[in-house]
Amino acid sequence: MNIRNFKFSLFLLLSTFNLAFAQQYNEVTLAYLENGLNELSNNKKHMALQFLSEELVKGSDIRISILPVSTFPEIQSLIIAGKIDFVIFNSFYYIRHHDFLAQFIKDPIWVVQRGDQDKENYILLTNKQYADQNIIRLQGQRISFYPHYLLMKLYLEHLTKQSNSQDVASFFKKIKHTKTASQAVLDVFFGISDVCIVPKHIFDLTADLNPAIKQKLSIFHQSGEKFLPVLIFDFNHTNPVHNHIHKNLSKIGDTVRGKQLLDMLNIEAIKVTNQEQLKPMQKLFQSHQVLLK
Amino acid sequence: MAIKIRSRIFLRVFILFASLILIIMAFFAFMMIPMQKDALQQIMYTQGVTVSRSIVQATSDAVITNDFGFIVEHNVEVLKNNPSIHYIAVSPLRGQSIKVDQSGWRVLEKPDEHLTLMQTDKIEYNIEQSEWISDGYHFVYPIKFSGIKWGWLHVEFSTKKYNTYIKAMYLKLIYIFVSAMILIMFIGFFFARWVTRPVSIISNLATQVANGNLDVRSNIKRKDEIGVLSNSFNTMVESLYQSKNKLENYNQQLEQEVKKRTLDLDALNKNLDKKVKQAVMQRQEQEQLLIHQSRLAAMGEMIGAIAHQWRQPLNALSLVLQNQNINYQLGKLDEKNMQRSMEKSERLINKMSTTIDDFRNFFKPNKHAEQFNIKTLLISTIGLLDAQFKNHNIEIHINCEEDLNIKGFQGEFSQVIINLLNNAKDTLLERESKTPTVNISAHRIPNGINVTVQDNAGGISAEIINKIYDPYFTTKDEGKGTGIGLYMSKMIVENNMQGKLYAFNDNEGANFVIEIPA
Repeated sequence: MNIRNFKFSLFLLLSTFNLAFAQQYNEVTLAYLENGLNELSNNKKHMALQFLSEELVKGSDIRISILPVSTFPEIQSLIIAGKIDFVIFNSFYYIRHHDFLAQFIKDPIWVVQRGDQDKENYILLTNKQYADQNIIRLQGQRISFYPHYLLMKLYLEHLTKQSNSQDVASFFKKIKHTKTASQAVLDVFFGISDVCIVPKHIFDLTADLNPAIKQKLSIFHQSGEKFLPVLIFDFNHTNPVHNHIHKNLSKIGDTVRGKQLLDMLNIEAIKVTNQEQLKPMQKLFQSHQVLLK
Repeated sequence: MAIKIRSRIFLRVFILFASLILIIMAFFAFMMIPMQKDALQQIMYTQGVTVSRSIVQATSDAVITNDFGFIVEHNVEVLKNNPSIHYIAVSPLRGQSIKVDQSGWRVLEKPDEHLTLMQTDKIEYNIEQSEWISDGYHFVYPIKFSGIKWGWLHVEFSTKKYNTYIKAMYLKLIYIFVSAMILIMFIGFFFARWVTRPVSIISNLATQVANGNLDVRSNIKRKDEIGVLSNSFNTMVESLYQSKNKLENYNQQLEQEVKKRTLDLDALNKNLDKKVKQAVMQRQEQEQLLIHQSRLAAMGEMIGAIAHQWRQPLNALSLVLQNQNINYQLGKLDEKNMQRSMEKSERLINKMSTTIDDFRNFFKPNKHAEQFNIKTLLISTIGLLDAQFKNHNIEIHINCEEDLNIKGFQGEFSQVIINLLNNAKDTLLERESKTPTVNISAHRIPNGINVTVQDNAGGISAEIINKIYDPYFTTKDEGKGTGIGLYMSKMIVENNMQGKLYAFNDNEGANFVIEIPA
């Protein structure tokens, strides 16, 4: 048994004990999938998530516990076992495991908004010398991107596949995985890479810090606003105590304390959505799957 | 006993105490402020080193690979998490510099020249302003890898916190100072009162003693100098108290004595007028007595003079009678002889009678002042004394102007001349002058007439010259002089004739001068 499996087994065991007391204390569990939400592995942000959870149950006798989960199969097990009430994960896993999740998911769904728009617009940035050219022009160039934006990575692969049926690694001469999304923009600015893919709000934010970026770089391609990056699901809608959390979750950004917590997580807002809003992403994934065949 | 705030010793002690504390506090503040500043600068230096090392360590790979994107991203993150950092700038040995601040970042062709000067082999820092450097603590950290210099890291920290600390320190100092002032006022008041209270008490007691209250005593019981002072004060006050009692007794006695004397004086005052009148009367009686004595003396003189004048006619008359007796016994007494003797006797008796008339006229008192000639009066006066002077071989010379007339009592004036001549005669006889001479001169002076009686008897002794006009003063043998002649002469000249009588000595003898206003 490796460490990860041991931790998971230990959690199940503890959850069994918790379940015995849950009825007494109205305890709920919030799990999140670390992969695709790498920022939350940061201790500071984990603490912020803890505080955010406490804010969600404020004014009630609900006890909430945070559970980081490493892999989606673990999430699946927990969902099946009914051990978790709320789950946060990258939208990429939603579109990838939609068939499994569809049987458990009910509206409303909550979406994390990181930029100024509800949905994210992924853009390819290059020096202005590449402006108004076909994407094939970028073949053999160096690219930088933040690898933990799974949807963005999927979209990039879809683009390369669409252009000449090549995967990303083959399409570009060199791939640089940056430690932050904005660093990818800077790589292009400093000439370390020829192109990068970032959410548009990241480009705007980076350019805000140095207007020279917008003078030097240009948007080579953009996906349009269709991506909802992180989703929050309630897998136990029948629990009446969840209504309190739903209410607080929808207006978390209305309080000063909630706003501070969102800032710590680099989140603009948490908004209510529904499965219908997720269909464009799902359609893209299906289209990409077709290309892969 | 309340302490008066404005009591000078209290104020002095209070001000001394407060000043001492304030000076000590000011000294400590003066010492502490630079130390605190140094400590804060040391903290900033340490912070600079820590932050710089952290950045260099975190970006070392990026620096080596010239991954400026990472460097910028990292420094943006550092700035985001450290609002007290104004900017971070990476200045490579060659190439462009990148400056990241709270508002953004930018690429610079080259750093400020001023900062270039700070790019040395060691850590540099300063607090100043320039184009690059705002109001902050600028820290320059040399970036080296394996001993190879790559460039410099510039980090500027906000001095707001530093300034806040300094401001807070000043505020604390002010707070401490104000608190200390209040505390000093409070403690100083009680300290000064504790120190000065015994002195003030004794001072107040001393003031009461000075105001006359000797019943006060100090009840301060201490074993220090104040206690000694208190005891001494009580001893002194007790002594004063006893002295005062004595003085009061003396005063009472004195008052009684004064009352008695006052009564006596009152009585005396009441009798004073009577006594004055009595004294005046006594004086008048004395003067009358003197005058009487003077007259008696004058009469004696007159009788003496008459005796001298009569001696020669009486002898002649005796001879006539003897001749008649002889002629009778011889039987030669005839009618012719008798007639001749009778005529001669009658002539002698007439002469004696004339002599008596002259003296009687001379001493007859004048009731009214009248004009008389000086020379005539001098000649007639000398005529009265002529027999006596010739008898003693004393020469009298008169040197007098003819027309010297004055208005007055000539009898009294003549008496003055007689007194002066008799005194001259007596002195000449007493001193047995070989050529006894008296010179009488009279002449005009600017405001009157001067009459001088001069002798050659040697003069008046200096010891007595101021006493010769005193009544009853005489140098003559007892029975020969009364001591009132010169006194009466001076009274006559000065009171009755408004003149002056004085004496002086010359080579020959005494000079008595009579000056009479014309």
